[in-house]
Amino acid sequence: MSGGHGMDGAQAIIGQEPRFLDYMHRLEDHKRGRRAVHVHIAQLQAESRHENHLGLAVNSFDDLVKRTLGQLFQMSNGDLIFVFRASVLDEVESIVVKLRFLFGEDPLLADDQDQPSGPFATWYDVEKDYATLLKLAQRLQMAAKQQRAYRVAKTRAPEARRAPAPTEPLTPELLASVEEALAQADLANHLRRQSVCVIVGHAQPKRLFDEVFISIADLRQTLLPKVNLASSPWLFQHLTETLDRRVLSLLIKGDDRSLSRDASINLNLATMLSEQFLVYDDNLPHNARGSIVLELQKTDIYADLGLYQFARDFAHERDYRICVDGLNHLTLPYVDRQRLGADLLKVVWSPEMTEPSPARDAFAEAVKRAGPSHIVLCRCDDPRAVDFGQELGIGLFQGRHVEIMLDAADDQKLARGRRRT
Amino acid sequence: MAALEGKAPGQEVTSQENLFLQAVERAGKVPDGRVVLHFHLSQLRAENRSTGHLRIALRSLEPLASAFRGQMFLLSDGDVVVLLTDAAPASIDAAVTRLRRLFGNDPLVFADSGDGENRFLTLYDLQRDYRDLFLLALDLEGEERRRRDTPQRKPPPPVDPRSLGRVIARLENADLRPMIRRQSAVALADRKSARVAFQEFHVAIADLQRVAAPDVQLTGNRWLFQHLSQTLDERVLAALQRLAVSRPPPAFSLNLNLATLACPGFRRFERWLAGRIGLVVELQLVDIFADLASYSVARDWLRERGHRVLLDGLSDLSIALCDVGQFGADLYKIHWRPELADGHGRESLRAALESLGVERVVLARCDSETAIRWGLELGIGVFQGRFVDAMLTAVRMGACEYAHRCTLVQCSQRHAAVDRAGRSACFAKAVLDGYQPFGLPPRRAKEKS
Repeated sequence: MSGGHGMDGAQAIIGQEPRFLDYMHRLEDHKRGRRAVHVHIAQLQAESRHENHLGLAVNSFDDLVKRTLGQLFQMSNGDLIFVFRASVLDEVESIVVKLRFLFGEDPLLADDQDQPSGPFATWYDVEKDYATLLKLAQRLQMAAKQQRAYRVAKTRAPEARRAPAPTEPLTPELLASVEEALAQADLANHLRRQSVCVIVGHAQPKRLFDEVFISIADLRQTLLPKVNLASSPWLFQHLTETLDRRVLSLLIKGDDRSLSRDASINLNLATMLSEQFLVYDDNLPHNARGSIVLELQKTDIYADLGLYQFARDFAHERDYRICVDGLNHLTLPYVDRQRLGADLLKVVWSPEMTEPSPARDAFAEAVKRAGPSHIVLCRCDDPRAVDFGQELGIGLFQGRHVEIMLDAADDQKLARGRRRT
Repeated sequence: MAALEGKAPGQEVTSQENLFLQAVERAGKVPDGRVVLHFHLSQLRAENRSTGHLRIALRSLEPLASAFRGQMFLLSDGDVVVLLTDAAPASIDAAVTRLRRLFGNDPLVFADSGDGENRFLTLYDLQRDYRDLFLLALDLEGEERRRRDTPQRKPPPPVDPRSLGRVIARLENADLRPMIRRQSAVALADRKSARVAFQEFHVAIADLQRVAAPDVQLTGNRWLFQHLSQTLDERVLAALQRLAVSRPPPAFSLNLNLATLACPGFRRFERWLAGRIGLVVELQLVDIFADLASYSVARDWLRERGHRVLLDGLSDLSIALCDVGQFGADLYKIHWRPELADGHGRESLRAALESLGVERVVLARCDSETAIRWGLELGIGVFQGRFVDAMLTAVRMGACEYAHRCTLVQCSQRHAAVDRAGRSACFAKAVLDGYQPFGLPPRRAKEKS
């Protein structure tokens, strides 16, 4: 790509209206096969725009800019315009989805979940829309005077809890022994992470955040090979809470800084109000909270909606995102995300979802109502999950299949890197 | 004071109240630019002032305190006081607003606007209000000493898995009947004629606590308590088939775990009452959410057999956060709270009740006539609670020739009991188990339209 700015990477400088106008003029004879997207950061409400999120947004385009597949312009009001080759449309779309999550709690976006071209992002085909784009460049140039700002919204999904094969029932005594064993055990080795990714079209998945958890399935094999944990949902709930607290204390003590940003953790409401959580909160790097998702079990929420409301408001005040965990295609229609004031809903993928039935229709309707961009489809074990989710407009995925896609993408990146050197 | 003087110097405990008093005295010497915010968090509803809630409240005030050389004190009654120096009014406002928003669902916050009386927060300007503040600090300190010197019974620790195992073992051979109570729900078709719609049977937690768990607090852990209730369900069902009550109510209403409905014990119970006594199964929102598929199967099965499903434990809050009507229950039980009478959220609640079908709504925990009047005004027709119990008892005693030998409380307790021992002191069992028709007291003049 011509222009010579590509190597600047994402270190765009605010107030590039003149450069953008100049670029548009130069493009006049090279319009074919190029697209542009205008991301309307400036229209976001002031409180949802955080300085540090601007950087995150700009960085998202880094990769494409470095590969000279597009150019990024940052306006003085904070708006971003990215002009790129049509061949990477899918990738750009997934970046825009990611940005949407960064700014997800803004009312501007609330009305904008379904249509690809809404108030948050405007898409252009440079060839067809050249005149419009040129006018836009001129207008921006004239109006160049405001500021930037910003902020992040995020989400996430679970995969942690897998039902085991049954035999003996779980009793209070067994639970006590297990929890006593857990208190002694070094669980650091059992800490797992799994990415929640944006996947748009056939583009490679982009990591949005990693869920950090202790796999109950693993633990069960070690501690309770014969016990059917599902035999008492309430005792099981108690066990998961104990584990969630252990994860929190591991995170507090641990030195893996990568877990203190773009991560999600499972919490119960009582723990959110605990001293331990406040210590965790203290230890997070400045401005990292906006990229941390707190996953709450639906059971915990509906057991005490008053406590949920209190904990949610506190979490939002601290800039965390709230994800309702433990949903499936049958329960989703019963959850009202907007009324609950949650940022994300995590739904377990199951092949049943794809079979035509009234339940499937109800699910599709519920996805639409909640806003597809607020849904994470998790436990995506096979490619059908992603295809199906995308059909419904869902962009966030988690699961073994997603991990495989990520690995493949990493391999490709590596290979590309080698070719260059 | 005297009690404290008797103590050796080393025994004195430095309380937050004491520190606050000292801080006020020090600050009083340079009162300029100093303010104290007194948050009356002890007046929050019990469920909103747990240790966790207070911890978060303090955390929420921390930025304000650290910005203006503040000192925070968590008083022993749960109130919070913050002493600030040269604090910008806008920063105070922002912090107060933040805290008010957190507790926005509590009547302490939403019920204090308008009348000039701020129940949530009192603000003292040291230059102007030093005397008031000093007296307050002095009173708080004295009160705390008195409390500390009065021996207090420590509440037992919350139940844990180990102690739950012991409790369940202890209950294994216990007769549950003495712990079972009943309470009527009354349908007011019009104000002149009332009838018992159904009777709720439940295990009295206080009895359970006394018999099986004197050393732990059974309700101290939600999930373990829920597990306990599930282990008791089938046994309660068995016990209900051996009641000492001479005349069963038109319908039994039972709090059951969803999982119990799939147990053989429940099928036996259903066969036992089928065709004679109606059944209302009361389920919790959390239980339904945990297993929706089982819920819809169980609900349809119950309905086919002529029974009803009731969604229990609803409040204005749960109705606001969740569309409960989509669960397709036959009845919805809302718990009365006095602040409902203030009109808080009344219109949205009215709309929600109308969409549920107000004829399906039961208003429970009615402990005053205000509750009944509030419900009737919204079109609710079925009521339950202590006030309803008192009405029923009064009517029953009016029909009883031995009434002069008993008190209202005795009659009420004997009626609630379902085992022989609990009822033995009654002279007229037929009246005790009878369902006397009655009407409401006449409306007050101001209610007439």
